[in-house]
Amino acid sequence: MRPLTLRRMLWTCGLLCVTLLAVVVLALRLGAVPFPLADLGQNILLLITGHPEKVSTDFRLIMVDIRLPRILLGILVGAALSVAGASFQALLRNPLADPYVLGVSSGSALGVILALLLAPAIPLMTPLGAFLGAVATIAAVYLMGRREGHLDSGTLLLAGIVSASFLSAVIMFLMTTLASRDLRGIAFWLMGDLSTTLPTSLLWTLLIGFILAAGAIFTTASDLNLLLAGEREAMHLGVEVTRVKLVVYISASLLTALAVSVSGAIGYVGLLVPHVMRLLFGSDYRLLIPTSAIGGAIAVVLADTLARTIVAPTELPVGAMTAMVGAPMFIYLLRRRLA
Amino acid sequence: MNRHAMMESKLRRRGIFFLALSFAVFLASPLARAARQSSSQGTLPGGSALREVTDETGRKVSIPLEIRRIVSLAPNVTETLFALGLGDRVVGDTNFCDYPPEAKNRPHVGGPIDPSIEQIAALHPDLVVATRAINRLPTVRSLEQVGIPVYATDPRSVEQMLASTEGLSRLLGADAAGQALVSSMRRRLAEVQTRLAGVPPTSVFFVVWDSPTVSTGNDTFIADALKYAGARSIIDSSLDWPTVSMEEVVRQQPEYVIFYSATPAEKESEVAELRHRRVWSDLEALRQGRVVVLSEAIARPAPSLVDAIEDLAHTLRPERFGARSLSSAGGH
Repeated sequence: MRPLTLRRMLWTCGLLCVTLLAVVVLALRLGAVPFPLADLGQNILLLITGHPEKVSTDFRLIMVDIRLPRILLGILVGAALSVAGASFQALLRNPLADPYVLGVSSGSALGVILALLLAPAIPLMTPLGAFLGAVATIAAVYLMGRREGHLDSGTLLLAGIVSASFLSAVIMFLMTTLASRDLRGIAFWLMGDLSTTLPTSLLWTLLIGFILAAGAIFTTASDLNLLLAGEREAMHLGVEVTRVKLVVYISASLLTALAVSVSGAIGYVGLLVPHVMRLLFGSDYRLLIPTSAIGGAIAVVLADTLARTIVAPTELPVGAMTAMVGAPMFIYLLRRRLA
Repeated sequence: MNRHAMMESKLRRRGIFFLALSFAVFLASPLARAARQSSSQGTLPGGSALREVTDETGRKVSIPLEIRRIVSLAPNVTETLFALGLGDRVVGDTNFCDYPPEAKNRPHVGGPIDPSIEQIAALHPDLVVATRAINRLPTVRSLEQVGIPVYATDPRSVEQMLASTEGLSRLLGADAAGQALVSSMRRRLAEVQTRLAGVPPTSVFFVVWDSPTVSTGNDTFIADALKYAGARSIIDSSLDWPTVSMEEVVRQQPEYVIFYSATPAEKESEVAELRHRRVWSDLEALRQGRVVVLSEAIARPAPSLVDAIEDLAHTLRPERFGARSLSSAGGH
């Protein structure tokens, strides 16, 4: 492994950030309502140079109030899911781990639905439900994945997939038996959906939440590198295994819950992105966590751009797009591991 | 303590701090949202004069005094607006809005579940009219977020459809048209009731969808419309659109099976095929041709629902309607 220098880290992240910027411009350009590129450039220039009054109301309404917040939400959700995926992969020492495959997203979604059903009036209940659902699911999957005291990779994945299917069945049951009218249309959200325009303040809180949880995981990056070699080995090298695992476990659940509570269960991002980043930049977690964050943002913004343009003005759930790319990738990775 | 260990413990404390803080922020986010929502009320762009109204779901909405541009997010809303003579104010509707035919020419904003918010915004509506049964709450919230007021209707019975039509007419300053339309509908419904007086209700099985078999529950506008037409659904369910067991339907042997379709003629041939399908063939009504295929009007809580009610009543009890022919019952 090439030594990781600050210089290399900055260069890599800088390069990815430029790519992300290009993708954001592309995403801004494309949409149900067409805007010529020249118009886009001119209006952005007006905004940057401090002449917001000259910007057309249409541009402000559609670009600044609708399209841009949606892209920013995609960036946050993608980054959160990818970092959560990379973290679960280290925590469970399983390269196929991902919040969606492990059932954590479904657990989070069930938490949201239960919160909506049981206490729709209490504002704190939805994100809390998402978080508790995520924590409980990953704990259950972890326990089910153990065989004779060891974490068995195949058993763990099966436990995750079966949990996801079980949780989806429970969600289905709740949706069909309880005639709660607030649950209508929730199937669309379950597939992963970024179409809801959120207030700027919520975007800020999501950003801060993401930075803190991802930051907490980043502080354990060196330990995660050692942990990948095995818990016992890491312990001998002075890693406080229990503490690191707890921090990563809670932070990754939080990141998943954060993404699910605003966008439903967008699958496979947490699987796909860390793998691509590993292939490109190596598997050092100190680099993998930031690159996964930016890569996840790129992936989700691209997927969402496709989702809202392919059959415009009708919109596809973004989860359908990520699953179409992600599921074949999962099979490919699985077969490569078996070979 | 060596340097490495010191850094470790510093990192650990930092990690725990990060964790605690992020959790707190995460929990606080909906509060921030709630605060923002309450502060953004009554700040529509343009600063035009507003008035506050309460929609059919109990939401308070600030809407402009004058409403010239309307986007409809549901077929029943579109039909109602056109029926009130406000079709020229409808500047956008959904892919599913096909009645009246002029509605098809309006710019579409996507489906009722998944419309494009930016497409709606680009049409500069003064008001978006949604309906609770098929539109999603997140769509309404998104529109409010960008300063577009949304009025939601919620007709769950024939009576509520009438009230909703009148409500919309008042909201949009078409009071006279609304009163005329609603009183004519009331007159026609009363006429049907008079003619059906004393007749026991016909037991029917209403097919919303045939695979899987979905029918109507007790508390929907369709169940209510059936009652107005002198029919009674054999399905007793508290769910709105229950998936029902054909065994139960066969056990009850309804007098009539009712289908609906946008193209009733094509549906007739589909029904002919159903007659040979297992279990369905055990239905006496189907075997003996006691089948009614209604127009899609029965599936839209809007003014032409009255046409569908008349149509059905005529078909089930022709003797009660004397010489009046079916075609005079309207429909489309």
